Amino acid sequence: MYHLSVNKMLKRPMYQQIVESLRKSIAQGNLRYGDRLPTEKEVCDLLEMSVIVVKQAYDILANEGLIERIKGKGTFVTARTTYTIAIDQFYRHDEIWQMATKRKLVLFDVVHSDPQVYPYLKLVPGEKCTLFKNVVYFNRTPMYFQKVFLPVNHYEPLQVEWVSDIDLLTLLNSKGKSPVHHMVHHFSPIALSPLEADILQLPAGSGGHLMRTQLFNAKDEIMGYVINVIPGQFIELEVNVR
Amino acid sequence: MNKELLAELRVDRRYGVTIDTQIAYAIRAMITSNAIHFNEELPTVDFLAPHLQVTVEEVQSAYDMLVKEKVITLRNEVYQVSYFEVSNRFHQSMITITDALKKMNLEPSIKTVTFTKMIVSSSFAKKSGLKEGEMVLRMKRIYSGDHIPFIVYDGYLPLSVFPHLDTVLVENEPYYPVLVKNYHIQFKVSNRKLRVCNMSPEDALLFQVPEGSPTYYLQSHLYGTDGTLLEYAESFSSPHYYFQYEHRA
Repeated sequence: MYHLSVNKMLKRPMYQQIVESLRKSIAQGNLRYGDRLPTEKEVCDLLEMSVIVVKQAYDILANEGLIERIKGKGTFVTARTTYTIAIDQFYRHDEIWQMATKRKLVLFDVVHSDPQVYPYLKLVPGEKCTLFKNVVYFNRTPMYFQKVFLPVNHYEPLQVEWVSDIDLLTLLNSKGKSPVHHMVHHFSPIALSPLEADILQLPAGSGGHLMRTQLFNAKDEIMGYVINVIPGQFIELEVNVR
Repeated sequence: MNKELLAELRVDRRYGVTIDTQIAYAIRAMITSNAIHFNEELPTVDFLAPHLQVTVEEVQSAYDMLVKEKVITLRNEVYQVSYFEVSNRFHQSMITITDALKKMNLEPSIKTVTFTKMIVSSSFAKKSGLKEGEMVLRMKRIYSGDHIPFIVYDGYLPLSVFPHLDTVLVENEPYYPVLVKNYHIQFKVSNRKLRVCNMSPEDALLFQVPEGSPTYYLQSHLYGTDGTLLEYAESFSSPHYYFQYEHRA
C-alpha cells in the first residue's frame, strides 16, 4: 500500500494519479514481478474513494500489461525488467549487469548416460558426467533455467555447494583441469513448456531462447555442455557485427 | 558422412530411450555441432540399419523425426542436411541476407511489400535512434529461399543520408550494393538485439506455421564509419531459423 499515493487537492483525476503512482513504483523496482497489489476494496477504504475509480486505474494498468488480475487470487504485478546482454558475455552477466544473481540448485547428480547430450560431449554410456540444474534469479525474478553437464574426467570432484555458490565460468575455470578457451553457442527459438514456464514464472507457450553451449579447452577438447532456457522477451541478446 | 563420423554414430540398448530417438539425437548433435554440414548427404536407411545393427524401420523413423523438425530433408530420394546454419557468417561478419541464402544453396528472392517515404514520429525516434521529424524511406521486404519465406525485414533509411533513394533503388533487388555504389558509404558496425516473440496470426500465415510459434525478433542499427546511423531495421525470421555463435572465453 505504501507504493500508492494520491493528492486529492490536485485537479488531476484520481484514477490517473493511481495509475501514475503505481507505474512509478513498478519502474523504480519498488513493486516487482509477482508482487500482489491491494484489492480494489482495500484501496477504496484507504483512499476513501469510489471503487469505480480504482477499477478504472487497474484496468488501464492491466491493458498496459503491467498488472494482471487472477480470479480468486488477486491482482499481481506482471511487468518485468528487460536485460540486455552481449552474446559473448552471457556467462559474465553478473560482471556486466553489475548485479549479483542467485542460483537455486534444483538437481545435483552424477549420470552415466544421456542420449541427447552424450553425443555432444563425445562420451559413451557408462562414462561419468556431473549434472546439475540451477534456476538463476535476480531480485526474486527467475532470469533463466540452466542444465550443466560436465564430464568428470575434466574436473576435480565437484561439491554440491560450489555449483550454487559460484558462477559457472568461475567454477569451470577453478575446478577444471584446463581453463575454458572458447565456446560455441547454438540458439533457437522455443515455446516454453508448462514446466519451464512455471519455473520462469511466465505463461506456457511464451517464446524463449534455447541456448546450448559447448565449452572447449585450448586443445579443442569438449569440457562441458550447458543448456539454458531463457525468457525470450525479457532477456535481449546483443551482437555487434563488424 | 565420412567413416570416422559413421563410427561415432552408435546406439545403446541400455538407454531408456527408443532406438529411433537415439539415432535422431545422435545425428542432430552431429549437424548442430557442424560435424555434418548443410546439404551433405546422409547414409541411406538400408546402409545405416545393418551398420547400427538395428531395423530399417527404426532408422526410417529417426529420419522421419528429423525431417519433421526440418533438420534434414528428402531430395531426389536422398536424405540431406537442411539445417539453416547461417550463423557463423550471419551474426559474425557483415553479410547480406541474399548472400547468406546463396551460401545455403537456396535460391534467394525478394518481395517488397511496403516502399514508402515517411516522417519519423517522436515515439519511433525514441526506439529507432532516427531523428524526430526526418524523412526516411521505409522498405518492408520478404526474403525467401527456394520460395520459402525466411525473413520479413522492415528497414528505415534516412533520406538526409541517402537523397533520392526512392528513385535510385530497384524494387525486389538487394539494396546494400546500391548504397555502396551510389552513396560511397562504408559500414562500420551493425548492432543487433534479439528477442524471442510469439508470432502474430498474419506472420504465422506468411511462414505457414501455427499462430503463436516462437520466432526471433531482431532490431538492428547499422552505422557508417563516421558513426552516422545509416539504417534502423526490425525483422522476424522463420521459426526454423537457428544460429550459432563462436567466441573466445
